[in-house]
Amino acid sequence: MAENILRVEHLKKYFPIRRGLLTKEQKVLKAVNDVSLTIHQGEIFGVVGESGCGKSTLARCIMSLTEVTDGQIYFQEKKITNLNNKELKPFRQNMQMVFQNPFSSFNPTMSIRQTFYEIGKVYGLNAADIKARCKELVGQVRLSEEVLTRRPEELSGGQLQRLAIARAMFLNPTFILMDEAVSALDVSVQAQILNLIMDLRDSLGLTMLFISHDLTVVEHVCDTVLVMYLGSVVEMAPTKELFDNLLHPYSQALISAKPKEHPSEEANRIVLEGEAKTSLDSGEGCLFAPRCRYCQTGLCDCVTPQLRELTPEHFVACHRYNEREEQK
Amino acid sequence: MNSDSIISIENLTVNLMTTRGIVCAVRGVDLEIRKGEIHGLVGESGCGKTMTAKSILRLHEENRTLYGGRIMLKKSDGAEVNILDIKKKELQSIRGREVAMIFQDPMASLNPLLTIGDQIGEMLKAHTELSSEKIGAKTLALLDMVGIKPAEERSRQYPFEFSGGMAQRIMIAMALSCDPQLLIADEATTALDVTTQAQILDLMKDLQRRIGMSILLITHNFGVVAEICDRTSVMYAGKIVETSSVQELFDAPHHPYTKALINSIPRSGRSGERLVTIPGAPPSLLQPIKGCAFAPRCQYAMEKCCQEPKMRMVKRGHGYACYLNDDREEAEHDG
Amino acid sequence: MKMKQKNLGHFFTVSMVISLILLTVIILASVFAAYVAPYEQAAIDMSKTFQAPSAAHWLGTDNVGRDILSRLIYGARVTLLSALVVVVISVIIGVPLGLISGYYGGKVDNIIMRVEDVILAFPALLLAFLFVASFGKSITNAIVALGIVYVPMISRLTRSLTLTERNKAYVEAAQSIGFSDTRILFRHILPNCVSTIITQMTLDIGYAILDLAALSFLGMGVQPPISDWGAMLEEGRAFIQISPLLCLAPGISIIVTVVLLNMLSDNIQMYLDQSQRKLPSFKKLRKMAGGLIEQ
Repeated sequence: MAENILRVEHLKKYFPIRRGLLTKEQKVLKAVNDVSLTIHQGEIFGVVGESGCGKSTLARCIMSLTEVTDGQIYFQEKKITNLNNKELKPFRQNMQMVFQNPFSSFNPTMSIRQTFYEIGKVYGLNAADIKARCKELVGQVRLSEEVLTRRPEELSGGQLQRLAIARAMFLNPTFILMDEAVSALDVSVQAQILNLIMDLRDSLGLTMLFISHDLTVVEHVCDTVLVMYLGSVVEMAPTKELFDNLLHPYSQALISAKPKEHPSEEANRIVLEGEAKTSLDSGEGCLFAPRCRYCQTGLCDCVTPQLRELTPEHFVACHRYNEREEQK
Repeated sequence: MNSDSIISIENLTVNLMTTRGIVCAVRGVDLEIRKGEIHGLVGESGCGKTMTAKSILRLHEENRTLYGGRIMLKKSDGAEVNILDIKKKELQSIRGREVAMIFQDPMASLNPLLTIGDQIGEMLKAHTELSSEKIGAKTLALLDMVGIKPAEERSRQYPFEFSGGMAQRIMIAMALSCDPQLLIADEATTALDVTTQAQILDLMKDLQRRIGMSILLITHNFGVVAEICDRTSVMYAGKIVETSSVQELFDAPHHPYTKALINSIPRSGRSGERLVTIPGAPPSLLQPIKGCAFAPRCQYAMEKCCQEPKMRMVKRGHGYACYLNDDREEAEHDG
Repeated sequence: MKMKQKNLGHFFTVSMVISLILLTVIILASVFAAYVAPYEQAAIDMSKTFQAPSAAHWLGTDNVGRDILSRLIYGARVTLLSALVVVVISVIIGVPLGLISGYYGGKVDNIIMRVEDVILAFPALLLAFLFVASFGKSITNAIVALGIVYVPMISRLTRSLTLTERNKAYVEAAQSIGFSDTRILFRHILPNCVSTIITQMTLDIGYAILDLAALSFLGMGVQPPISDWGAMLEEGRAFIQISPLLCLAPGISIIVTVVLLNMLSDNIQMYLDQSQRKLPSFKKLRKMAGGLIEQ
């Protein structure tokens, strides 16, 4: 049984929103509302969802860039929830992140070499070691050493994103979180980065959390996929199992909305009607209920569905799953 | 100009003055947009597709842009004009009335201080001579047509009360308000969620069907192209490398760049496979380019490629700029 | 055939060159006052009072026969140096405060902002005046007073710059790598704010010159026998009917220096703000592009 690298239990991140001076009532934005997941060694775990689903907030919670309201995060079975900077330092080395926009994730006033050098210095490496490590990394991401002398503005998106991955690998981490890391890239560049990610997983056994809104990319690269909607998990399963067998109505609608891959493909669009809820809406009931064609009044809009394991390793949060199965 | 074209771009060149030097953003583009068709303009960043589209409305800063070639527009009254030649006043009458454009970020294009009903009304007031009542009625009809219901109630709301997808519908309504012949959509669905994107694309297809609207759809997403386009042009380094019907583009792409691009897209059912990539990077547009711009990265490059290949027409409306199949075609011709 | 593309965004525009050259002249003259000034600044000669400009005295003499030009040059030294120290004090205190309040927000931000609000509620000059009146009339007190009074300006600027930078990805990246807050503030955020801060500093030197002159004019700044431009203005005031040059000389010097500093500040800002860089006219564009297209 592979080691658990990351374990998240019932994670909640709420933002209080003040509505005007006169209302006493404080609304709460439930950006992440009870999310649990486990990532094993060597796995690429995908999190998929549309804007507002909370995947970015989830990323920030896991990387301790923001405080967690409730729940626990375990890294290699050690609790890291809401630790302060000093306590986090030993973990930081093993958990690194790659951001969406390669241009803004590098300090514009520093050259690439300076950026890498600083990391080495803060973590106690000597100059010779740092130099060797830079050379090694640049080779691993298939760039020429010459890019080290450049500033971020002189490089292309593809080159910078590769350097971002190199930077994430500098300290030999066990775990890398990719937050929409290929979304801002051109198609041909995206292909190169995806190949690189898969190579790193195969050669170094890196564990990754891959966040994206692009279903095809997630299907291509991830071993397990988790679908989020308005802060909650609606479905989670190994990739092949999920895409062969979409159980949750939202997942089905999401996949059906993907653009065609060929003009002569039949489009079986599931059109979502009704007003979508927002993460501000409190109260019980399935968040997807107003737009769901299987919604059963009295059940789906009153009782929050729990995540249940319907088939081995395939989790769904839906009341009516069994009935829909029977209808088939 | 052909009888069924509304826009004919002939040998368009656009040179922009920037602080790093002169950028030859568009280096000789020939493009024809037919009446009632949805034409996709595809390419990666920096290929010149947005530059080309903006040139149709001459949206670049006049003092820093040098145009070459012609952009012929067949106006609704039948007259043919070269957009690059006409005076500012005539250009104003074309923008919005004959050709309308929507952009990637709808929220940035809407005035946050006016209700959307007022904004559409403003547009109608500026371009038409309708009375206020007629303007009100037309506004509601437009909102209804793009799927914003109930139109009456929503026309009195402000932009911040709408989501991204809704805002883009409002932009489409505004664009349609003066009954233009052509709608240019510049990455109009890129910033939207997948589900919303599907809805907007459906709306565009619907408009084409119902009112015969022509659309120039600029995108880097081949899925969008497969979804609603009739014909597509692929751009690379400021030139069009291939134009064809969408079916043929996916079934039998002729240009090596088109082939490579389509192959580098992940497909469902092939997860875990290594994707085909294109070595190297696009050339800098600050220097003049000799010969075929794609040759340095092309696996089929030949000696001939140091001479710029001309467009070969496979049939009317389908062409590509590459020497690759010449020998084969010559052999077929002879044999 | 490669065509050379010139870098079209020039650092040395006409107004930048003018302001740099003239300011350098003024600064150098004041630094090397002993060599440049024709006379000692305190050289009294009662036989040559109120002389009009002549070959011997380019700007004439004052009420006790001192050469006005020499006094101007020596005075520049005091004025410029004092103004510089004022700005340096305000930056040493203000920039860290701004960084901290922008980065951490919350209570820390509130406290710092409210204290600065109190300072801002008073007119700068009045506050400096009160400070000097309490602690004694001297140029040092005047400089310290103004330095403190200028802190909110720089602090607010730094704070708003920090707020913008704090949300950028490279700061999050630095946090996720495990860098300390101090390192992030001073090695990452500050370098990205420096250029705007320098623009503001250049402007502030101008303000400081004016405020110091006012303080000296009121007798709160330099004390005799040292004098700066403000003191010269005060001394010349009594004799304005007899020889206006006693006032005009320091007055115009103040104006010219402040204007030059403002020009310099504008130019720095325009250079840094890429979109405003002056590009060649359309005609030139046609000529340059013509060469390109013909190839």
